[in-house]
Amino acid sequence: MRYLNNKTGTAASDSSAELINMPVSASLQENLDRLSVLLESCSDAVIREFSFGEPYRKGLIVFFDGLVDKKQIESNLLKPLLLELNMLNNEALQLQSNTNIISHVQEHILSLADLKELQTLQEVCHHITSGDTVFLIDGCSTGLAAGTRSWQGRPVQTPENEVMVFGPKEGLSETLRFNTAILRRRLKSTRFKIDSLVLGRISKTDVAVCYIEGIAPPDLVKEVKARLEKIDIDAILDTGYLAELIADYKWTIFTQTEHTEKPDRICGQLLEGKVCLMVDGSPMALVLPISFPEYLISPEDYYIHFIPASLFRMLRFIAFTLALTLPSLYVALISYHHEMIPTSLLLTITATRQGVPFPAFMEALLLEATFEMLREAGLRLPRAVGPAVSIVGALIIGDAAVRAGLVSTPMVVVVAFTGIASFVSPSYNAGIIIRIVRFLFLFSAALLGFLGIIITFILLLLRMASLSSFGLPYMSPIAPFNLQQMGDILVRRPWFKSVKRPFLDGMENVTRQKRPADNGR
Amino acid sequence: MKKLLVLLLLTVFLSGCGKIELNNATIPLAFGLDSQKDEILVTTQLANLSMPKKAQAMNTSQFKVITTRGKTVAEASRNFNLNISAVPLWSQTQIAVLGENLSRQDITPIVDFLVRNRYVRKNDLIMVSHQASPEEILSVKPYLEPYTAIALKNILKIQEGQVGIYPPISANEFIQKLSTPGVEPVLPMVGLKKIGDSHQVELSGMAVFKKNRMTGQLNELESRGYFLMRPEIYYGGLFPVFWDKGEKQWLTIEINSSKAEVIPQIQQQQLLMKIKIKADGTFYDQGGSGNLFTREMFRQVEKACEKEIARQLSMCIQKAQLVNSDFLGWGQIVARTEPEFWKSAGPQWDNIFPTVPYELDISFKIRRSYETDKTFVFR
Repeated sequence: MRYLNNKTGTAASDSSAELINMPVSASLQENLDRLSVLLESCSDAVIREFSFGEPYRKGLIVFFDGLVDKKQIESNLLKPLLLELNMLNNEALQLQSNTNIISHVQEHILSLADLKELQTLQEVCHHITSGDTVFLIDGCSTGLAAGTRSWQGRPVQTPENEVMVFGPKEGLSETLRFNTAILRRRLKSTRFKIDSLVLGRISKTDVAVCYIEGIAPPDLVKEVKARLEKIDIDAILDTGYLAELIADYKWTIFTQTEHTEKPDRICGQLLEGKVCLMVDGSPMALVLPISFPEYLISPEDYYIHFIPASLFRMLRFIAFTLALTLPSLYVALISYHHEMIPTSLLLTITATRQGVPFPAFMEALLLEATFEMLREAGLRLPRAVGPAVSIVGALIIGDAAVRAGLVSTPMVVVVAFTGIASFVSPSYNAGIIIRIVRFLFLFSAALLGFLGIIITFILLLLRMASLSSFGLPYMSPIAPFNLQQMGDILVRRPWFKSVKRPFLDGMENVTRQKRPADNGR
Repeated sequence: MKKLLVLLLLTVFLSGCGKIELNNATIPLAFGLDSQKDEILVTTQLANLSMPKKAQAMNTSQFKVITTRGKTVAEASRNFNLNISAVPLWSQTQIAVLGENLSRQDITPIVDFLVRNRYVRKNDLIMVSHQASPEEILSVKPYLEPYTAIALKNILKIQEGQVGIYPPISANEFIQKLSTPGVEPVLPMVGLKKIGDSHQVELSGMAVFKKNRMTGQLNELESRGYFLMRPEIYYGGLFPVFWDKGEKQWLTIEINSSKAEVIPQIQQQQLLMKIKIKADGTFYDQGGSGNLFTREMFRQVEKACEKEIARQLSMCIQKAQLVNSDFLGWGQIVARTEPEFWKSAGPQWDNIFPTVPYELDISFKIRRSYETDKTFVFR
């Protein structure tokens, strides 16, 4: 396939490549010919020719069926031109040969809200593929793009992957314009900027760079845009493409951006000086820069009272550590460090391990791998089959394997506990990191016991501390240490005490509350 | 990076202890040391875990007791694997039982093992068997616990607070006292009590050591005296007091806290040990019906308690002087507070100790009573 793609284009594609760079011609026939070449084999393209006005003028509209609102074209474009223009009999409105016909039509005849003049065929093609209707008039070298975009999209739904009890339930959907509107509704300020770029040679995907002027560091915004502009790829189908393409460090499992489909979470991040990227066609927005500890912070923390929120957050940190190290700690303990286990516990464990044919490490590896498989299978399976897998997983793996003496019960408990703990992290990205690194710990525990776990832990910390996300150190505010910001990492800072925003390098306005409330005790 | 890799490889290949899978390990809960002729006997109580669940629920024994012989303790304990197919995890032992035989002869052959072997847990509780071999002690199926080792450990720890006769002594404390001049170790003794056809373990007295062997034995009252005189934290216990004024009856007094202070005094080159005990306790119950817990009476009850404590203490001290073993640690106290005197007395402490005069100063306060009602009176 690659060989074919690299071959020089055929004659037809050559001519269409030339055509697309041409300006809109004054002759309608010429435009029509060119468009027919460009839109050859595009069965969903519609070209409608007609004549209008007094004296008659030839014109045509071109659009892609399915992307436009036909009712709007009929009532706001065709009706004024074909019917009302003739019925009104108003001299002033009639087309004079000497007037600039395009501006006349724009100003007096068409009742569309969104109209834009076009000069080149490239622009024409871009607009019709985006769902606009292009109106060309004979004798004019300017086309008119009418904003008639309308298509069937997914309505605003509750995000399925980021479930919360408190807080807004809205989620982003696939249409970029709806998504920006959802954000704009929350940040009713002209300081909330949405810069737009088009990426992808074929997909021509709209990418929005959202930030709040005066809060987001200008250098950061500039850097994000610069990195986006460097991208030269055929298509961008999801924000995931961008996350990989613009990352500081590419060869690592530690992702340096956060995916979210919750507009409230995005707004919270924007208000802390972050930049958000949204891609048309993807309900996932990308928030950057992000440091690792922030993966363990749930937006819900900020909606509930700060004391329970802080306690839940600490619980999450504990669960995170356990999810990372519990299987390896268990394997290290029962293969190397028996003296650290209380005797009664060791007796219980040993009793259950009588007759288990595998060493502890193999047992842990098999169970962990099975768990990961079940999890992956659960994701892919159709809804109707899902419960069947959980039953098979729970019964066959859990019960039958223990009964058959293939695995020991404490190991099943450890793996199940680890599984539950790994779901505690509010970020899916962090969950992925935990799942992978856990195996690394398991291997080192089997090889060297606690010594191995400690070596892996040190190497892991070294690696993490060496990373950065758009210049923000990956482990900040733990390393480099920042006491002021730590107050909102391990615990949730109460709102009446968060006078300042978490500081990003280059941030202009760090004051969140100018006059912190001083009523009450 | 290369250096790091070398370092990593070194840790992989040079790391010390090997891996022992639990599948081929067995858990010794107690070990006993004894001697027979010129051989050392090592007895081990192994948790028997390979039994099916149903058999465990029934009243069958859940442990195996294995005794092996060898010229040294280490050899004997390795010989274990001549007939047991699993690696023992020695670090899990809870108690160590020294045979009375061995203790009375000479403990020198086993001391090095206790002190320096890395598999000996230094917080193992250590005791001496009484009129039985360690094998007999460890073979007893206890009442409640599945394992004798854990039962003995719990008995020692719980009686310390509930009854207050025998202090639990760890291997560490035993070794330390063996190696310190001016103090000798004592160890609780465990014997067998015949109940019907079977035997049960029972704490009975304490073994008094002198240098490398056991030289005497404390009975219950002497042990109580020792328990009160120890410098360690007091955990509590009950003691009966005979009340001989008016209606004769036995009273039970619970000691809540007790502080012992031993002060050596030197007058004209003569050593006098002053033993001060400050204790307070609870009037627990009484064997008669007259109300003794009144403002007028309890002063006299306190006096009776002081008398009883003094009796226990002097019994203990007399025993110590009789067997000439300074397990009370007087030598150490003298060395600490009167270093000048100790310089001359230290070398001949064995000759001085049996005749050191002592003075008891005991104050006992009854602070409260947990009685829920007034004295019961027959009508």
